[in-house]
Amino acid sequence: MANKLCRLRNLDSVPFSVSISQRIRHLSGIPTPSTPPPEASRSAPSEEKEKVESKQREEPSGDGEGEKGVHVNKLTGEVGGPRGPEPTRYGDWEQKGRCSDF
Amino acid sequence: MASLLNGCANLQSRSFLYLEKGHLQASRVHGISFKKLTEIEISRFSSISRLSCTKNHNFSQSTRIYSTRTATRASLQDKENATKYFDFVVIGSGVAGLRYALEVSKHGSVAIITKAEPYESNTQYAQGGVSAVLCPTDSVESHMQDTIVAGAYLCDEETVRVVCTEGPDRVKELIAMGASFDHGEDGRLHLAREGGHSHNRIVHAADMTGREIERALLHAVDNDPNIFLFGHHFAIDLLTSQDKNGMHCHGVDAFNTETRKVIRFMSKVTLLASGGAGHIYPMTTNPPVATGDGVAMAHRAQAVISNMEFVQFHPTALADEGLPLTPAKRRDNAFLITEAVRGDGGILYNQSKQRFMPLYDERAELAPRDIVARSIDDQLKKRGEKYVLLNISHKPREKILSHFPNIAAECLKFGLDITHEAIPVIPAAHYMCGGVRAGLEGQTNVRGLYVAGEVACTGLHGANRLASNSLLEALVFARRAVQPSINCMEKTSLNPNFLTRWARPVPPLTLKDSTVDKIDKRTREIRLELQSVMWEYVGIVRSTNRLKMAEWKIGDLEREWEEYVFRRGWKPNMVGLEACEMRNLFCCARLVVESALSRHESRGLHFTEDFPYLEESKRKPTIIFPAALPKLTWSSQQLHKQLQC
Repeated sequence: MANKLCRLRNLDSVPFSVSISQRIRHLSGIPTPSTPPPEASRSAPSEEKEKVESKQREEPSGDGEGEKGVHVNKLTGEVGGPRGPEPTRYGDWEQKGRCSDF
Repeated sequence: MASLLNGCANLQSRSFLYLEKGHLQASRVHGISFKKLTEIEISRFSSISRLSCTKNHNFSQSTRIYSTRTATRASLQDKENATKYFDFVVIGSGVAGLRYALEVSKHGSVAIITKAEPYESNTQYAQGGVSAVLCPTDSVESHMQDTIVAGAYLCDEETVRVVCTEGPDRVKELIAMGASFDHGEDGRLHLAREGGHSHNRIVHAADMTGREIERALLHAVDNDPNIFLFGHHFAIDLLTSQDKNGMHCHGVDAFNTETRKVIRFMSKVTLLASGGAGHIYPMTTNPPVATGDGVAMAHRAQAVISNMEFVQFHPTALADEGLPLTPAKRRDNAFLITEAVRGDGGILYNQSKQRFMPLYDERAELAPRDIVARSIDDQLKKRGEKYVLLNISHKPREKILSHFPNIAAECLKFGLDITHEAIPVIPAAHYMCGGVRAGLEGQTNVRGLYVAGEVACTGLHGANRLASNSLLEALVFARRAVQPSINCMEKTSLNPNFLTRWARPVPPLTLKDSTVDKIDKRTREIRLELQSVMWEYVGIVRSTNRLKMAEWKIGDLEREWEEYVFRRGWKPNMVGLEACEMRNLFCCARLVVESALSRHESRGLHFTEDFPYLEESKRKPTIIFPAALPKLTWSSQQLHKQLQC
C-alpha cells in the first residue's frame, strides 16, 4: 500500500473554512520539500521486500549473516541492523510495531 | 507570576518592561535575538576557593578521596560533607550533560548531579537516531530546509545553520568515544530516512541509538578521574545573586534522596541539562524523571523562558483504560503505536464505531501525524471519551503478527488480541520544543548558567521538532557551551563566605513519618489532577476559553495543595522528592498555559480554535520574562528565599 503521509502540502493555498474539522484538516503540519517523498521509493517494492526478506529467513543461515553471525540486510547492506521491514518505511521509527521516534 | 513582554525588549537592560498583565507575545525580535545574549564579565570574588575531591559514586556508599589534576590545595569542605565545591556542576546525566562534562573535565573538576540512576533520562528512550549530514550527496542546506519547514518557519536560522553544520563532527566524535552505530558492509555508516527528511541522514544503533550513546558516554565519564557523578541527587534550586550587572548563578542545592540530606554544590559554572517535562500530562513517553525541574528552577532563578506552548504529542499511544484487563501498575511511559499500523491499513474509530478521520482530512488515516493527533483530540473532547480505537484486525493475522509483534504481545498481556479486536489509543506527550532561552553558546541571561538539550530553547526546533534532531541539538550545544564555560570559570572565584548568603533547605525531620506519608499521598493525587487539567484544557486542540479555565483551575489546585501541606506542618524551606517535583510541575504547567494564551495564531504544534490560522506577523518566539511582582505561590520562589518572605 502506497503511503501517502508525505504528499505535497502547500500551506499558502489553504482556503478559509468555518468548521473545526475543516480547520484541522487545512492546518497541516509539514509541507514536503520538492524531492519525492521517501516512502514512494519504498512503498512500491515493500511487498516485494517482504517476500525477499521472508526468503532470506528461509535461506541457510550462512546467507545474510556476516562473519561474526551479525545480521546483514541484503537489500541495504546494513550490518547489525534490525531485521524485518524497514523501520522508517512510514516516516516514524518503529520496532515491531512500537514507535520509538517520529 | 511571569510577565510577557510586548514591544521592543532588550534582554540586557537592567529594568524589565512590565506592561499590563495580559498575554502578549514579543513582537519585535531584533532586540531579543538568541545570538545577542552576551556574557557580562563576572566580578572577581576575594578569596580563592578549593575544590572538593570526594568521589561519591552512586552505586556504592563508600567514598574515596582523589587529588585533582591541578595543584594540591587545602580542602574547604565542611565537616558534615554538606557543601561541595566544583569548577563545573552539571544538572542531568543525559547526552547533553555527559558530553559537556567530558570536555570541561580537561579544565577543572566536574560534578554531575542526576535525580535517579545516571542512565535514566529521555536520551535512554530516544531509540530512533541522530540526524546529521554524513552522505556526500546530502547537504547542510537540505537539512536546514527540512528543519525550518518542520519548525513552521519559527526556527532561528543561525541556530539551524550552526547545528546542521556542526552535527556531522559531533557524530564522528561520538564514534571516536566508542558509540557503535550501524554501518554497511563497506564500513560506511548506514543512514536511514525518517519523515520530514528529504535525504537519508539518520545515524542509528539498531533500534537503541539513545541507549548506545548513553552507554558510551557513561563509560567515558566513569573513566574520567575529574568527573564526580552524584546519582539520586535531586536538584532543588539554583543559587543565585543579583548585582548591578544582573543575575549570577553560583551553584545548586540538591537533595540526596537516599540519605535524605541536602547537599550544597558551589560552582563557578553550572550547566542545566535536566531534560523534558512530559509528566505535566497524564500520558507521556518520558520516563518518570521528566518533571520539568530545569525549566522551573531556571524560571525561579530569573532566567528567560521561551516557546513553552510547543509540546509535541504522538497521536496513538496504547490507552490502558481501554484494555480488557487493567494494568496493576500505572504505566511509567507510554507505548506508542507506530504509524505503520495505519500505513498498513489500520482504521481509526471512536467508541461508537464511527470512522471519523474522513471528517477531518480526505487522506483519512494517512493524513499527517499532527492532523491525526488533532482529530483524535477533537473527538475525545467532543464526545467526552478517554480513548479512540485503532483497528487492524481486518488484515491477515500472519501479517499483523509478523509486522507488529511488540504491540501484539503487549496487548495480549492485558487480554486484547489485536488480530480480532481494535486497539485503544490516545495521544501522548513526547517532547518539549520550548524551554530556557539559550544563545548560540548555550548561555542564558543568568551569568554562569548554561543550558543544553531538551531543557533549552535554542531556536532549532521552532514550532515543531524534526525527527532525530533532538539528540543532535543536545550534542551540538553541549559542545558549544564548553569554551565559554571555561572562559567563565577562569574568571570566577568561589567565595566560601557566600555560603551563608542562602538559607539551607531542610528535609522534613520534624514531621512524623505518617504525616510525610499523608502529604506524599495527597501530592500524588494532586499530580494526577494537574495532569488531567492539562490534558483536558491544554491539550492538542486549544481555545482561549479552555486555556483561561486551565489557568484558573491550576491556580486553584496549587492553592489547595499548598494549604494542605502547610497545614500539616510542612515548612516552605522543607524538601522532599514528591513535593519538589510537584512545585516544578505546577511551574511548568503555568508556563505552558501562559505561553499558549499569548500566541494568537496557530503554528506547528500549537493549534487554537480562536486563531486557527498562521499569521505572518506573529511568526516570533514567545518569551516569558521573570516578574518583579511579589511571588504568590510556593512554586514560584526559590526554596532558599522562602524564609525571607
